[in-house]
Amino acid sequence: MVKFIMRRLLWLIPVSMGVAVVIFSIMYFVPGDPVQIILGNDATPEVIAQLRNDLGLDDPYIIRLGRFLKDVFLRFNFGESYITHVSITKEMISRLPRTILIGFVSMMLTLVIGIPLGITAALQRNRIGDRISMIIAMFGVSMPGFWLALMLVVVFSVNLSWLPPYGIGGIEYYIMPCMANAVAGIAGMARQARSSMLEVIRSDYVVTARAKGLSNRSVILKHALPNALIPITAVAGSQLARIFGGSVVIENVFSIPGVGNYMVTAINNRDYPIVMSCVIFLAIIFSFVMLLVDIAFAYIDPRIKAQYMGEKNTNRRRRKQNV
Amino acid sequence: MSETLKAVSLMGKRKARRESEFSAMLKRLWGNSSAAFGLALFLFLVLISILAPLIAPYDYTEMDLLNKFQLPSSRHWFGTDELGRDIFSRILYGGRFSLSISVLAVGFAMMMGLAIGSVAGYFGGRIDNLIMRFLDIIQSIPGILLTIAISAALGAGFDKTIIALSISHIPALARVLRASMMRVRKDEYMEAAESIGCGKIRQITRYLLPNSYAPMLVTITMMIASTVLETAALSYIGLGVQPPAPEWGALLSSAKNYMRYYPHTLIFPGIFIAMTVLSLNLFGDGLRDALDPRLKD
Repeated sequence: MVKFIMRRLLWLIPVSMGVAVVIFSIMYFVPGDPVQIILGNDATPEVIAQLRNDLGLDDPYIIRLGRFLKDVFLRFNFGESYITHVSITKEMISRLPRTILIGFVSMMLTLVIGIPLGITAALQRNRIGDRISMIIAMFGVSMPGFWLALMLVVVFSVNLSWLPPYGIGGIEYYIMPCMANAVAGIAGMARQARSSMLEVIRSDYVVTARAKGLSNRSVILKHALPNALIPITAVAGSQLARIFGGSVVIENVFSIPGVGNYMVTAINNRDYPIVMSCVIFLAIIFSFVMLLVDIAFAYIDPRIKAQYMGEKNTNRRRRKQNV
Repeated sequence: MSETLKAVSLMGKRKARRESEFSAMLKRLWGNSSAAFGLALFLFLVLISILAPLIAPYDYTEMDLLNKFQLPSSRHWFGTDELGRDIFSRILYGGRFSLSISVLAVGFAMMMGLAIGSVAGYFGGRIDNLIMRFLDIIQSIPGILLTIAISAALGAGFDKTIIALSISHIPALARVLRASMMRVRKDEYMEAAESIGCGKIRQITRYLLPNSYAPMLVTITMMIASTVLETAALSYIGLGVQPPAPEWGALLSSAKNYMRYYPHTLIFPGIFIAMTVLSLNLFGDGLRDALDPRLKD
């Protein structure tokens, strides 16, 4: 198991570097001169040339890339904003807890509500409860999260004035953002849990378990559920990605000063270093969380553990399902 | 007697025209009422978007400042917005943007996915490994974040939005294709094709692709659905297609400023987005069941 964890941890290094290179390269081709954004239109050519030199904008691509990677990975310095000249690293760190809070709560809701819902639906297949919850789930995955968020604001803030419509403060400020961000996840998870449970219920070992006279409860809990959880875990990754991305838009809807909102504001100000840093930062955190998820699920699936006892080249198969 | 003969000959004919796997799949798909409903709903939405100039009661730019924020009525089915423009007409025209962007973005991603997936799936070995590690890196960036980054770099606009939306979808498609190719590659007809001297390109296009593209269909359908959502989210945060273009996300983006007093401007564009995604999801579900009847009882 230690070997598995070490392997995944080491793999994190090339992935983070790769992400940084990809995003840096995309941003390198942004049309428009950053100096113009910083100084405005009426700067003298001397000042412009001076600043270009100071920022190292005249250096070739590969040198700028190398310098960027060195700053980010060795000094943990993402540079500073074009406009406010505040350190991006500090700003991101101070905003991170809110983003993490929303992401964590949304993911927990997704798992804690979605999986039991799907499994219960599978056990009651084609009965009225199953039908209704699957229809609701279908609508849940089809709604845009930010639209749902806006509708929640209309209902709970504007009409009922139960919850504050935007900003931060106590718990009540986070209820709607987390709900809006989690609904699609809960619905998607329930659908996946239902279909994988249905598949497992029909398999031979469940029939055997029933045939040897085990109680329904122990068949479901001991034989069916652990096997049904495995494909569900593959979906957990894509749900997590959706929640990470969704929080960007959700933070914007509720004006929550998190990393995502920082990024969206920067896009509108054409403050590209911030956009670049936020994407890299969130992607690295996402990879790290995925690592934790993988490790947690390796405990559920004994096959992965077994593979790591002997063979090499293992988690490929799992990742392939992660598409 | 002749009746029996007829029946026998009919049976013979049916046997001779061996049912292909594809037509069997279509039959299963057609028998699935929710999939048929999904397809019908999607085609209906496409149709009313194409025919928008004929159906829409007003032009989507036509302003009427005396009738701002009208509630839904017989004159304006979905009411009017902050400039007195008819929301129903704007949604019809907006469908042209939202639907074509999503379909084209996934279409472009499909081309790239086909190319990359075929190369990885056919050659395997070191090339495959290299491509897959690169896709791993791309996929470790949550899709919408990558889309936002590319879109911020390229700027707003119809074609640029399509490119931004398609790139983050390439890895998933390439992976699905590669996975099914890996299974097919070891089949005997592939060996036969190679032994009669088929070139690599011909092996891929004539034998490998036709036998392995099916799982991609489900992914593509579901992907168009999620791209509709992403297109809307992108316009909402100020990238993608921008107002005055009546893209659905852009409609929501301008409606949110008035949602306090005029929530109806917000409701209808969202319903159309949800309907589109719903129709594609229903169809995709049906397609998956039809392709893999084992999953359906």
